[in-house]
Amino acid sequence: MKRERGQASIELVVGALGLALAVLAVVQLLLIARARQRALDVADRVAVLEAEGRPVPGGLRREARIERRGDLIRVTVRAAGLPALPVFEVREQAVVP
Amino acid sequence: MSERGQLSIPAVGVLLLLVLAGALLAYLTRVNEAGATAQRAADMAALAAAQLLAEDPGAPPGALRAAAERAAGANGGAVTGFRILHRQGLPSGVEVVARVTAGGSVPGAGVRRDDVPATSRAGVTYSASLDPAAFRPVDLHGARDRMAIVAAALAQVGWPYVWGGESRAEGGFDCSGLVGFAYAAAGHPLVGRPTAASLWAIGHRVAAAELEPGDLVFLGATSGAPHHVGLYAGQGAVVVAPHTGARVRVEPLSAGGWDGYARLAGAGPGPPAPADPVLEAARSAGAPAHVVAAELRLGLRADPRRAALELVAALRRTGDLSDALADQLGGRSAAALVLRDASGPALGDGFRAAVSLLPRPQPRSGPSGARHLAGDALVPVRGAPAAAGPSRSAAAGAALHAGEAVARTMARRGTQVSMQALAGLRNGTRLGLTAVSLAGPERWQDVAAAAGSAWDAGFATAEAAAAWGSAGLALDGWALLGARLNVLAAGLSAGVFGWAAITARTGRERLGNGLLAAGSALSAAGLLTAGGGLVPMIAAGSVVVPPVGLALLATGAVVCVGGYLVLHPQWCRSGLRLGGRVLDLAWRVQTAPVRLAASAARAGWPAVKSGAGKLADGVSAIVEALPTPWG
Repeated sequence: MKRERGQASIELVVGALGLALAVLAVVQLLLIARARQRALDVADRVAVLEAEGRPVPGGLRREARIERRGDLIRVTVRAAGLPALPVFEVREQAVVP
Repeated sequence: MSERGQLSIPAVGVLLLLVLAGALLAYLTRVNEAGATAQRAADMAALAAAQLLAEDPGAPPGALRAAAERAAGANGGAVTGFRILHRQGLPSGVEVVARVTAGGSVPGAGVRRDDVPATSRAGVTYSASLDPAAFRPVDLHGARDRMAIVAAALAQVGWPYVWGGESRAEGGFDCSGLVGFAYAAAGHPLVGRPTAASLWAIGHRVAAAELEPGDLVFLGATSGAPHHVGLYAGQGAVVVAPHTGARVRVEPLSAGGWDGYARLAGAGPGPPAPADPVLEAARSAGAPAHVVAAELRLGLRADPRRAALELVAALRRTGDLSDALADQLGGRSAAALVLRDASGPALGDGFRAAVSLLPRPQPRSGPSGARHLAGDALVPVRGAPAAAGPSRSAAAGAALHAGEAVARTMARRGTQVSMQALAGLRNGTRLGLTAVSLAGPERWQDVAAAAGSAWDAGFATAEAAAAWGSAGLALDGWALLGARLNVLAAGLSAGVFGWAAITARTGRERLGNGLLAAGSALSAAGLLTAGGGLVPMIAAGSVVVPPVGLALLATGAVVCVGGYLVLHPQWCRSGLRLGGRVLDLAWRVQTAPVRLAASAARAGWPAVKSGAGKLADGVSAIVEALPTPWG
């Protein structure tokens, strides 16, 4: 009886740890997905603004690194990362006419 | 051992389901990104074509489409639809449909390829202004020699006279200045700055009966040094810059008192002036002929006489040709295009164009009716199974689309389904709310969902209060099945609302969807406390939801209600209005006896009847004015 209880506790602890890791992984994936979505949005907006001949607002430059080489616009957004994880950068590019 | 084996079977099943869901989610993510790529390709393609249209309003459709295709290809898409937008019959923009194909393998559906189209519109706005320090530039449209001279002079009709001594940039637009400009514009520039006397000196004398278009008519010629000159336009008319305070105009040859006539060698042998209805209409109305001709060429007007009269009326109102055109044609873009056509390349920097994206057209459902979220717009998706013809893959693809639609609906409404398998088993009304939120009319769905969440909050609070100090609420049989479904639905809802919050464009949407995601997550967490964890929740024959779990459920429901209120602020306003009217009604009812008694004391029984009637009217008006939940 005691042995079964001990086994159950170990299973519970391992299960809880696994669940916690899974939750952290999902959170990190969501943060990366959010950064990717943001990079897509920023690239779209910058490309449209450039094509329309309008200036890019400073707000966009603050939240993303925007580089222009000829017709190519490259946008880099840093994904918020959980502690102890490397910094993830998401890149997106657009070609303005 | 046997029990542990039984536990592991559902655990493996859940794991498989999670893997399948992950694969489906990954594929849907690819489709979503393809939608964003398609939208960008369409945007860039539309802007590229619009830029070309801005540079050359007469660019052929083939060239515009080629520019769109190049831009779409550079952004990973392909153009599948293209059309030029028109306003008043003139090009005003382009609409482009671009497509990106999302491909991948989906468990149960095999290899799939989904075409994700996106539509974009770009508009072009033209503007034009004339240099106030120069004569109007003229595009002669192939006219040569004498007819070109006349056309250039007639284009200045309405231009203010400035005597040479008080000239603008070029020595004034006086009578001889007009002649000099007309000859120069036609490719026969005169030497130096001509005056009436110098023109008379270099001209070859002709009789009045021999006049041809482009010849000159003089005043004061009998003295040998004429002081005024006009240009014969043919058909018995002279175009002339008369005197200070007047404008360049066309007048009959007989009206000017001209006493000398001459022909300049540079004009060349011209053909007899043909009868031109446009020229005739412009001459008789006193309108700049080149502009009237441009209006007809561009198809903006069909009747030259009407066009000329309208333009003259507008010129009288505004005093400026570009303003007059905008007034006549009802838009600056059309006016700019007319001026450009009339003036030609000489308009130079006076002609400008700006391009911008236009609001996206509303999407239409594809044949399957299924839709995916792409960027901030719903984009129809056409299922295109890899294998042609009816096949298991095609059937699985169709089933997948249907499944996606059901999953989206379930996910969006999961929070409302969530929990109230529990309450619904006890109360049919709650089930009715759930049914309305899932399948009722669109405008009622969120209302029913919010009401259901409020109901859930009350129910869970009551259960938590009742179960406080005890083990909790026991679930088995159908209630347990419902709770298990609720865990899945609430988890799915948390994900979907969370994603909606992440991708929301406005702060209100972000906050509202975030609250709904948090409420859903709290609901799922509350149910997961049943039996102490996930495994009993999945496998046990009966579980007990502890009071803390019920409290979490109640909190989640309250948070969800908050989310709905944030997303639908009009409900708060309606609620406040309703509350105010109820309070007003209560005050009137409470004070009615006192007011009636006072009225009776003052005026007797008729006043009582009148007061009662007014009160009844007031109650009736308030009841009729009660707001509907969607108002």
